[in-house]
Amino acid sequence: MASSSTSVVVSNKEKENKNTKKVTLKSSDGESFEVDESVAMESQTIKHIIEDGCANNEIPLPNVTSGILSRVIEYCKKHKEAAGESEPSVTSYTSNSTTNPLTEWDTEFVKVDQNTLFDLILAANYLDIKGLLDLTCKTVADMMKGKTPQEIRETFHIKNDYTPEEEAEVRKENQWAFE
Amino acid sequence: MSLSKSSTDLSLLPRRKRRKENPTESSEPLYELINKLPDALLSEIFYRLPCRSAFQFKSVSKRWFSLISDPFFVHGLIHHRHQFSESNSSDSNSDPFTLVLQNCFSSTKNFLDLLVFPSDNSGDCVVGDDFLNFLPCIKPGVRKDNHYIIRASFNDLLLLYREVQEDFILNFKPGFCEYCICNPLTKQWITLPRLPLPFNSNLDDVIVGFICDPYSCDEEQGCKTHAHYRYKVVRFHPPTHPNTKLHMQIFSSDTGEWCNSVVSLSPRGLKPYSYISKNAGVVACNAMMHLANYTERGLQGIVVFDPFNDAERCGYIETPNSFPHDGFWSVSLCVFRGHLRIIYQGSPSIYRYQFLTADKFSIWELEDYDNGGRWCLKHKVYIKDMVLKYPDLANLASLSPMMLLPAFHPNDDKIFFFNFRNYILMWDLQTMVLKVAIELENTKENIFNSESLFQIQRQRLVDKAKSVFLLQQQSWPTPVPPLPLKFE
Repeated sequence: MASSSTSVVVSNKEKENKNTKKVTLKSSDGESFEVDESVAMESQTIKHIIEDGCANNEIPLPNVTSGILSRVIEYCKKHKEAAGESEPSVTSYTSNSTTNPLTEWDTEFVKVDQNTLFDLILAANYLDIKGLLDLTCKTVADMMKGKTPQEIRETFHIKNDYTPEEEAEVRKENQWAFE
Repeated sequence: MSLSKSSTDLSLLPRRKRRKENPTESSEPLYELINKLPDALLSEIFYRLPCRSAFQFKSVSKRWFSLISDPFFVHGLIHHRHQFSESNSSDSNSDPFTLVLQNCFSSTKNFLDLLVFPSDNSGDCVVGDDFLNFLPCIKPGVRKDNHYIIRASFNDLLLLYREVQEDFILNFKPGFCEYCICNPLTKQWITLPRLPLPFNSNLDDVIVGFICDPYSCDEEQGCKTHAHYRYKVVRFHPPTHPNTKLHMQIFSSDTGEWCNSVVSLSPRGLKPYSYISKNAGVVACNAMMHLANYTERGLQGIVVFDPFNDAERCGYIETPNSFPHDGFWSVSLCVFRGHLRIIYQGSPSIYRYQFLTADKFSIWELEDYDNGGRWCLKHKVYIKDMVLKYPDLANLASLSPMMLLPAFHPNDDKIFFFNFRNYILMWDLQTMVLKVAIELENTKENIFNSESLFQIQRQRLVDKAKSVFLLQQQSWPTPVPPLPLKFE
């Protein structure tokens, strides 16, 4: 369900500027998303493509599926709006909750399944969106904190490729961390 | 809403068939999704973990092990922490540290007596019997000869020393002295090659400094990696007349050996009839060692030795005459956030070994090190002002010295540690509030006997410098690398 396509189009009616440039982003599965250029430029990758003058028709993003791309666009829009008309590069990098009013929204945004979360990390990296990368990585790190190695394996379904002797050896070498 | 047929990579198709919360319904295993992240992104996640967790997760899988153990990863983590701490500079209490107090006061004790004071639980300190028990030879009850004592610290590493006397009785075994470097957090340690113990050597005459130089320091970002570093341990022998040369023994991690060295002091040499003050201690600052040059009239200057870049000569930093000279002052050298500091603690009595009821202290800091340096008075505090709110303490303070320990709280300029009678006190001098008082178990004896008090104070003067050590926890624990292999 491409629920995203409806949310993109209305944005330019809310903006004050008369001529908001738009770009079209095309996901790996062929879906097109039209967004304000300023929102798209939250992604440094897209920003460079546009600035290099290569964004004539659509910008193809073969590494991002439509589901993920729609979420990413949602993130960029929200953060761009919150930052007002300022430079995209300074919006919402800090994850310090006392200064960032979007913290609650961000927290809800990352309440997704693991698969989506990792895809978001990959997309944020590919599209070079610092804030999103920071948010998603931090989310995974928070999922890991306080867990024992066995709990980590269970949470992330990781196969234990150590033999019991090897594992005991590694534990022994790093005994201090377990105390 | 159409799925394009041109997309050939099926793994990129969105999986919308089921939700992860019901794994039993899925026909495909939820298998190691996290491993589809490349190393660089997995590292990004690990950077945001506390380092203790990161060490634990080495045992999750072999891929995680090799990733976390990679020095490149450590480099990236330190860099990341450094960036993050700069943007959150208001949170200055983030770096935990440990204050280690070594009891050299009691002559009846013959084992390593430590008080360990971690910064995270304010006030909860540990009597340090177990602190270094991963080292051999740290066992209560073993003869004094074989025990390590702490001689120096650098970041989160400690340098320990022990002497073993010659054994005439059984079979003749020459005496030796031995240094050990350890990281108390990770419990790694190595011992350096032994040095012969010359006949009639006096442990107290030798001043020892320990200094590390991080190799791969990213100049631009200014962060230190400690993933690969070299270090030196320098034993300074007391200078002999005419004070133009300094004898020392240097251990270098590059060679894995000790070597003897004679270094000339800067053209004027030391001031005549002066000496290097052992009481003041030797500090490592800006990758150089600093020692205090002292005469009867007080501090004359600072001798500077750079073992990494210029091991042929010593430099000298003048201390201006505006330093206090009236009354009696004891001097300690100290480092705070990379700046060299001198602590003067004074009492009105001009007689050196009388009961030193220190009534004031002042702290000077050397600023602008690279351009010749300029001394600034940072603090000047009268003890009587400190104890205003504590009348009981005020009475006692007039009888017993409150000795300022040469270790600052690394994150807060206004917090000081004092040794008072059998207590360690932590004062906040901004509010003049006593925050923490810890009673030392083992010095309760000898406090109330006036003659012993005299002896204790004398010893305190002598041993102050080697009694307190500040361990600063790093973003990543400093490894203790093995010595270079020697092929004979």
